[in-house]
Amino acid sequence: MGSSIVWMLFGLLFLVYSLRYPFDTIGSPGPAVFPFLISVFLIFFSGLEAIKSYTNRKKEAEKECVDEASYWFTRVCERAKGEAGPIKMTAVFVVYLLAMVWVGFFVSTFLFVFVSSRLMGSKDFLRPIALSLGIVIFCYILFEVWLKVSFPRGILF
Amino acid sequence: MFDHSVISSLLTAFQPVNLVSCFIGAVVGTLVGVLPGLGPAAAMALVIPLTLKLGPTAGLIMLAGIYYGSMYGGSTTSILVNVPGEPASVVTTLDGYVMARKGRAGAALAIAAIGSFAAGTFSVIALQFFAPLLARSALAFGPAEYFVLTVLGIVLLSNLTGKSRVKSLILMMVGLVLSTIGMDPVGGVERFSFGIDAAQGGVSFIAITTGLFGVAEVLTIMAEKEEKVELLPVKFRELYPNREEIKRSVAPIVRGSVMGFFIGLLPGPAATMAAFASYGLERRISKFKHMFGKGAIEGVAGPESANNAAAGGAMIPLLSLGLPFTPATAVLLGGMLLHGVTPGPFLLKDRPDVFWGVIGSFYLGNLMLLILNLPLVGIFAKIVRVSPKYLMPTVLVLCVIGAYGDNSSMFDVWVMLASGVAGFLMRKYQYEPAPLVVGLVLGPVMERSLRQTLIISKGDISGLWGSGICVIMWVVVIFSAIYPIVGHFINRSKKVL
Repeated sequence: MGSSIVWMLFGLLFLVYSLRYPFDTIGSPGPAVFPFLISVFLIFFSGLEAIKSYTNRKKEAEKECVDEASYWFTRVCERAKGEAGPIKMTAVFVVYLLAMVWVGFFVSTFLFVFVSSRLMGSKDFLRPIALSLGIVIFCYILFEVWLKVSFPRGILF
Repeated sequence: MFDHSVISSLLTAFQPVNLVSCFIGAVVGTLVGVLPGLGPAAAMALVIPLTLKLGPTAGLIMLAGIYYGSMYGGSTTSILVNVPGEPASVVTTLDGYVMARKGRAGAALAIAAIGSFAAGTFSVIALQFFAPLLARSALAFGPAEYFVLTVLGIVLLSNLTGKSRVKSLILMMVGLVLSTIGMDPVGGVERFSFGIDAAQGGVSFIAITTGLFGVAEVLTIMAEKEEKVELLPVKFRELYPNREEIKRSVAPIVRGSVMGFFIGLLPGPAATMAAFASYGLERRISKFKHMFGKGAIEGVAGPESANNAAAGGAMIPLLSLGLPFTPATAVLLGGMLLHGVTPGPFLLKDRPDVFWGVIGSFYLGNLMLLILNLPLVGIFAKIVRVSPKYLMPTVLVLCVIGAYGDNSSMFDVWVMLASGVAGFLMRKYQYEPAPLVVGLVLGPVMERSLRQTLIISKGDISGLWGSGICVIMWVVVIFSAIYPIVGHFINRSKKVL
């Protein structure tokens, strides 16, 4: 049910924001019309899903002879299992993107590949370093030299 | 007609310079399809200056080679690492990637290559014989017809993944909402940029798809680490599809080819729409419905054939009428004009060498791609055997390059990361992200056609069902929307009885 509420709020945000643009007339619809209609549909379907999940949860709780709140808590705990890895990786990714602007694409990518490889379970240092170096050289030759993609440059490279 | 057209096209294409141009175009196209972020339109634009030295026939053959080669290559990363190389390959991830994790990457890649070859060849034959006739019928589609077509797409594809229909509809609406960010397609008003300059051009499709599929996959693998997802060992002969898989792929390839070709005639993101439509169709009619999403070969064969046939279909309005309906064919049109060739009804009469040369190169190019791709299946299949601790960091860097390379914008990279986290959470809450891509693709076409219809009909809402084609399609929309609800109640009452 929580996910449906998130979608509902997302729809509501766009619905409210769409009111800032002109609707104009039906003979010449303005830029607000389409996003407004779609947001209404999004809120409607999310509401439908929320009701469906609530009814299912109630039924499941009854089946397992537990109260609804403890059933909900158990489900949340089940879903949260094993999330430490993805949270760490997301944090590393955020630092990587922030660092890219300061130290440049190639240096930050080298460090990112090394750290993420270690995060994914690499035990040694040599292979992640070789991988990082390989990726950086590959990116430089293929994208920067050949395809002329200009990556962010920082203070180092 | 047959002898003359086929022989002249092949004779032109067999000239050494044209043959080499075709080969280079096909190889570059395959690489473009494999690499996320560099779409066929951008690659063709980069190569146009080089083709000017080759002359019109060889130059255009090379550009066309890049165009259909990218359709071939796009499936490779979708199957191997769940990162679609180009939008039309998004749907291939649904079953192709699952097959790869089950040790059937080689079979999926081989079927994708065979399906692409068959569909590409079919579309060239159809292009050769029916170009003028089909081009005229494509013009019968006005804004009202396009609007109903997009509504039909939403309704039919709402059951794309076979899971919750309401969840699919929610994600389609989210995709449609996201498609409204940036410039309004009719009046040019800037919308929903929330004060971010980089958002004025809209959200990058590549950034969202690489995030939703690639980054989300890495995060999911990290979450699953405790369960240790082991890949099964594969023997060499198991790299290629077995008899059963080939048998099951034949009908989806045929259906995907025909459907993709006709969808290719329509304006808009035809290859992507064709791939999704083919997947939806196969899921509905297949004997192996229960296998979809769990590694059904039909889920690879149909969409891969459809997107390649659509690439051929899109050449009809371009060559016969001079109308480019996709970004890639628009660049190809630009290339033709730079070479002093004007596509349209007089192209065949004025420049038969160019017309038949390009058509002939399609036959040869498809064959070259098959010869190039099949032996590489074994090498590609080995990529999935690489340990996640080395493969996944590489995938993440490729995702970053894909998102950044699209517009050289860091904003797109942040969008990719946000989409990746959202995609990871969606999987956790049993939301399959593919319908969001459908919404994102159909959104601009849907909004433009709705507003244009209302402007043309001066606000008369009946303009939305003003033609026979519209009425037929609305009937199908209503039937498709009501049928699952009625079916649900019938099943329930049967259970009660």
